[in-house]
Order: sequence, then structure tokens, then C-alpha cells
Amino acid sequence: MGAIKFTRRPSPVLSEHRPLYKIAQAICILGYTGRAGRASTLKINLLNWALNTKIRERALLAASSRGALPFAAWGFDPALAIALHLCEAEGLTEKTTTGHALTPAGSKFFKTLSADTEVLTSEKAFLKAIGKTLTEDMVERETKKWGQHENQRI
Amino acid sequence: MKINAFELRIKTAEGLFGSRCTFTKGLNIIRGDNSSGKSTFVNSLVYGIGLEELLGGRNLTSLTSAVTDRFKYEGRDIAIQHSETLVELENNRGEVITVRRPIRADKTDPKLVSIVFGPQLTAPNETYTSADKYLHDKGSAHGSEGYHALLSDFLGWNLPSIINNDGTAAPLYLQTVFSATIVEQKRGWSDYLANLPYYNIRNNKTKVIEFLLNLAVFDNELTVSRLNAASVEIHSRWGKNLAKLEAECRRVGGNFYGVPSSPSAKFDAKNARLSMMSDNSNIEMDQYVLKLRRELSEFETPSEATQDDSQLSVSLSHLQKVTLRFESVSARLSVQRSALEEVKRLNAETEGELARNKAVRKLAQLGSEQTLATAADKCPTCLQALNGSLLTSQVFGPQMNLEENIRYQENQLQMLQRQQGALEGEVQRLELEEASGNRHVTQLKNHIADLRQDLRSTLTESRAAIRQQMLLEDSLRDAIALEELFKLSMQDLVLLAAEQAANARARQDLPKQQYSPSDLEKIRLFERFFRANASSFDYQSVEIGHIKIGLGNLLPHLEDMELRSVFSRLRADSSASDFIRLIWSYDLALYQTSARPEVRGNHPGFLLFDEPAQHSMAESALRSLFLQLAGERNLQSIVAASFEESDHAFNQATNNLNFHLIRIDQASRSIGPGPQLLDA
Repeated sequence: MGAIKFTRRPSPVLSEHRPLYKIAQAICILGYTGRAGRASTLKINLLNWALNTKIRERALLAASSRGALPFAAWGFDPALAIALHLCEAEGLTEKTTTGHALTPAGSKFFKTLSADTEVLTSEKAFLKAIGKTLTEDMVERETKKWGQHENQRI
Repeated sequence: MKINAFELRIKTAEGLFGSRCTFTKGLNIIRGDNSSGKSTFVNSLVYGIGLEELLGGRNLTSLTSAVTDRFKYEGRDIAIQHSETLVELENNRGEVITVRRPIRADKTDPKLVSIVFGPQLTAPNETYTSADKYLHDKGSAHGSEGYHALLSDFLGWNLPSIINNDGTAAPLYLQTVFSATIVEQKRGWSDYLANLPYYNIRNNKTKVIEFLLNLAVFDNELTVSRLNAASVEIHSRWGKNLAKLEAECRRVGGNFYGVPSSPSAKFDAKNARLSMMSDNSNIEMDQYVLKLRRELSEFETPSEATQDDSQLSVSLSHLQKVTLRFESVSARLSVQRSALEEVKRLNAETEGELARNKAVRKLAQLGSEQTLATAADKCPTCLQALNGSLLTSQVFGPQMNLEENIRYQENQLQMLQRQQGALEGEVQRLELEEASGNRHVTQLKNHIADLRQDLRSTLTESRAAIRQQMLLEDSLRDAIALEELFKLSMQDLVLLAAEQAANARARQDLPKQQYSPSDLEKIRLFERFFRANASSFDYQSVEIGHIKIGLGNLLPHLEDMELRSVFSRLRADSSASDFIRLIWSYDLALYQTSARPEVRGNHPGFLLFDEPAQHSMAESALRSLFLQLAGERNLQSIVAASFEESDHAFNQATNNLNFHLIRIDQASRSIGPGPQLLDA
């Protein structure tokens, strides 16, 4: 009887996990929605999580202009954390006390990204629409509730 | 374009101040020591022409307080009450206008420019007509009240339309074109066309150079966008035609084949077929019409109502069969519909994922322009390979690289699209069958009701037969109308297919490469001028014969690398001044190429270099620049320089040269009473 041989084929990688994709997304989050290019880690995670589905995007868009968050909690993406480390190592961002801020090189990259018409078009449109309406205050108000009572599932 | 004269007028409590001078064709040298007000003078001149965006600002932000607020004269501060600039311009047809622009004025806006149609500065005693124009507001570039529109007309420029980053078409801005002819001293010597204002346009510099060298590429781009628009129109008319036909088919139970869903040059009306659903099978339209006619002929003699119920039981069992079939079709249809929904969802997901992966490819390009290590798939800290994923450490087994991933998704997408196409066809067929079954059931039910009535009735004529006859007549009328519509539709589609074929042929006739052979010739000529200039300016850093004008962006390249980036690695003082020689060579070569009769480019024949001898450039290099500029007889060049504030350096650079001198000396500075004349 002949032996059966298996060859392991490479598996596809989610675009979400491509380093440059996440880096560019993080830069866009800081550039479009951050005050002077800075945002807290909580807020970056919230927007990254919202970018995952259209339903979350719509909910956040509708709520943020009214000054409140539609979510009681959101997911934290380990891939985003790694991407933020890479951003820092590339000199595109620097750490602040609560989060991250664009460096001049980061702002330059953001300008390139925002001027381009091919990459991240839907992401950019969403972040542009959110703009500065989503404040750190709103994020903080929601996160202060964490641990005070049982979180509702959403 | 030639500047004939310039005047800066400043009204103060102590009378009229300012500066004035004339310019000649050929070389003009503005000699002024540092802090003599040379920059104030040059910036006011650029402001006066309405091109202050090249200085990095709009309106007054581009100017110093010495012309907007107060200036020093003989050790005193003098407050400015009112100030303005006047620039007399002449075009190559010999027409002259004088541009009068306020700087500090109580009532008038710096955006308001008065145009005097005549040489008001060199022949002030004549009277001329004048008109007011606006700068910077929307419409300044092309509206009839716009100053820039007037200036581009005056220069004989027909500025081409270009595609903005947001996809809309807009004319190339006049200010961007001048970035190749006016070099300001602060930023201007850091790059080719460094003073170019940012206007949300990709490859801005390349567009300017293509325009100056009169390359045919703009015509091509416009032709392509016109062909695209025509093609969209053909597609939409094709789609509308089919939609109308499909709606009619659905109503009467017809179906057609052999018609592609989008315009195709290969479409042949002979292959298009129209069929009808009849008793659960498709038959050709003409057969169907014949069948209806035959059935109708049976009703020519009125049938009598019978008391025989055998017909009723036949019809009842027929109804049972038809209903069963109808129900199974409905069930199949809903299964296929949900399968189609699922495939559509998968399709959209794969499409999104593919688009994002392609975006990563583009990002790698943008990132490498900014020398990001991740763009080369390296960790920026340890320079180890990232393997194209953020989560390498948590995934086992080999993973696809970006290109493999894109290919994989493209294949997936193709498969899903084929599947979607097949399902759509199936759903459409079942919908038709369901509609026809539904109609059939209703007809049978009505027929049975009629037969029942006939059995009870005392009338001689059969009610069932009459209704049957009416139904057949209706069906026949519908069928004939549908056939007519089908014929008309096919005629339209044949015409559209021919239009599409013509559109495709026109596309094929377009030059395959971005630049046509005659464009390439112009670019090679430009390259030769550029190399010759670099050699006469004594450029040393690399072998001049190896420098090429890159076809990607029309900037100088050395072995596929932009010549500037080669520099940033060396970063020695000598190479910084060497790079400036390249900018001289480049800007001058643009004029030289454009002026050639075989090129007939759009260069205005005017160059203004502010302090070109940066980074401790040798005076001998400046002299060779003057020699070249003075040698171009049809070029007006204006060079402002400080000559290291020494007469010796000035004499060395200008000895035996033919030029017009404008002197701003340290003692009197640029602004004096009168206004003071700077070229005695």
C-alpha cells in the first residue's frame, strides 16, 4: 500500500492582520478623529472595533453626534496593540500619558493617506464623518462605568 | 511673458515712499545686501503679479510688515497709510497690461486687482481703460471676473483639465505652472518645483512639466474620459432596454435567450430567441402563437353547455397536478433564493477583503516613500521579517504572502461570481415558472367554476367556453405585443452593440504608452538640455551621462532613483550646493526645450531666481549661470543675489556680461522717498 503524503499549503491572512493595513488605519484614526493628532488607547480601540462592521459604524455615527456612545463596552484587538507598537517604532506616533499622538512623520504619512483616493476609502469616509465629534470625554464617561456594575452584553 | 516695470507705492504722513525700476529682456540682476530689503522687493513683485501662493501664503500673509504696516527710514519708523504694487507685463504678442494691486488699503480688498490695459508705468501720461478682477475666490481660475483667468488668456495659455484626487476634473492652476519659473529663496532651492502650492492633485509637478513641454498626454486623458462617459451611457441604455423587456416578459410569461446582460460587440440578433411558458414547458414564440390560433379556431362554432361532468373531473385532476407542480417550484425557488443571498454575501465579503489586500499593496508603496521598515515587511526595531502578519506568533503553519493572498482571493471571487451568475439564472427561470404556474392555477380554478355553473345553468351557450375563448384572445394579443417589443429591442441593441464596438476600436487606437513617440522625443530633447546645463554648471556628484529624465514623473533619475534621494544619503555641503545646480539646470532646460520650434511649449519665457547661490556655492558657478541666462536672447531672467556683500565677488560673477542692474544698497534700502528709483 502506498503511503499518503500531505503537503501543507500556506493559509490566507486576513487583511486586518496585515501590518501596514492596521498601521494605516491607526494613523487615520489619530489623524481624522484625534485632537491635534492625539487620542487615548481606549478611543483608538473603540474606533478600530467600530470599523469592523457597518452596523457598528452606523450606530456610532448616529450616537456620537448626540454626544453619547451607543456601546457599553467594545473589543480590544491584539493586532491593533501590535500595530501601535510598530507605529511607535517607525517614529509615526509617540506615547502620551493616556494614548498615542502623531509625530511630524506620522502627520506627513496621514496627509499622504488622506490625499490618496485608492486606499482605505470606506474607512476614511467613516472616520471623516466621525471627525472630532467623538470626544475623549464621551469615551471616559462610558469606561468609568466599567467595574461599577455588571456590564450588559451587547 | 516679460515684466517691463515694477513699482511699490507707499503713502505715508511724510509723503510718497517705495521703490521702482524697469526690467529688460535678457538678464536682470537685482543686487542687494542681506537685510537690505531685497526679499521685501522680490516678494512684493511676486505678490504684484498675483502669484504669492508660491511664497507660501495668500494675500498679505506672504508679505513682511515693511510693506503692510511700518518701515524704517533713516533710523525712524514710518507708519504706512496706504500701499500698493504696480507691475507692467508684456506678452509675446506685444500686448501690455499693468496690474495694480492694493497691499494696505482702508476700503479695498487685497483680493481685488485692477487691470490697466496699457503701459501705465513706462508711458504714464496716456489714458487707458481698466477693469477690476478678483483673485483667489472661487472662479478666479476660470470665471470671467477672475484675475488668473485673465492672466492665462494674456499669456496665451489654454490650461488643460486634469483629474483631482476626488475624481473631478478641474483646470491646471496657473500658480502651479509658475512654480517652474519662479524660485523663492526660503523653500525654493530644496527640491525641483519646490514652491508648488498644494492643490489636492496627484503628480502635480509632472502635470506642470507636461504642460510646459506641450505633451499630447492631456489630449489622451481627455479622450479616454470621453470614451469612458460614452461607454457608461451605452451600458445604461442597454440595461434599460433589457429591464423593459424583462418586465414585459414577466407579466405575460415570456422568456428570452442569447442576449448578453451587458453590451457586447459580438452580439448578434439572429441568436436572440423569444419563448413562452405554456403548460410548464418553454416553446418558441411562433410555435406558441400558432398553438393559440389553433385553440381559438375550435371556438368558432359556439359550444353548448352540457350536463356532462366528465370535463369537470378532468379539469379537477389537472388542477391538482398543476398545483402540486406549482408548490414544488415555489419551494425550489425559495431554496435557491436563499442560496443566492448567501453567495452574494460571500461575494461582497471577498470583494471587500480583496480591496483591502490591494490597499495594502498600495500602502507598501506609500510607506516605502516614507522609508517605513514595515513597508519592506521588516520589524522597525529588530529588522527581522514580519512575515506579512501582525499575529505571526499566534498562527501555526505557513501563511500566504500578499501577492499569493491577492491571487487566491481573485480566484475565489471569480468562482463566487460564476456561482452567483448561475444561481441568478436559475432564480430567474424559477420565478418565471412560478408566475406562469400561478397564472395557470387561477385560470384552471376559474374554468372549473365556470364548468360548475354550466352544469347548473339552463343557458344553451357554455360560459366556460366563452371565458376560455376570451383568455386565449388576451394571451394572443399579449404574445403579439411582446414579439413586437422584442423585435424593437433587438434593433436598438444591435445599434448599441455597434456603438460599443466603435468605442472599443477608438480605445485600441489610443497610444499604448502614456507618451506618444513625439512626446518621447520632446522628453529626450529636454534630457539633453538638462545634461548640457548640468555639465556647464560644473555638476560633479555623479556621472552626468548616467542621469535620465524618468518617464514616471519627468524628474531627473539615476538608475531608477530620483536624483534627490541619492543626495539625501550623502548629505555633504558640497552635494547640497551641487543639487542646486541640478535645479538651475532643470528650470532652464524646461525653458530651452519649450522654446524650440519643434516643441512649441507653453513656457512663459520668464525666470525669477531669488538667491540661487545657496550653500556656499562658488562664485564661478554663479557666473556660469549668468552666462547661460544672458545667452538666451528671448528669455527674461531676473536673478536676485547678495554676492557675499562684496564688490569683488560681484565683479567676478558679472565681468564682461551684458545685463541690466537693479541695485538695492545697504544705506538707502529698497524703500525710499519718491518712490526711489533702483536702476539708475
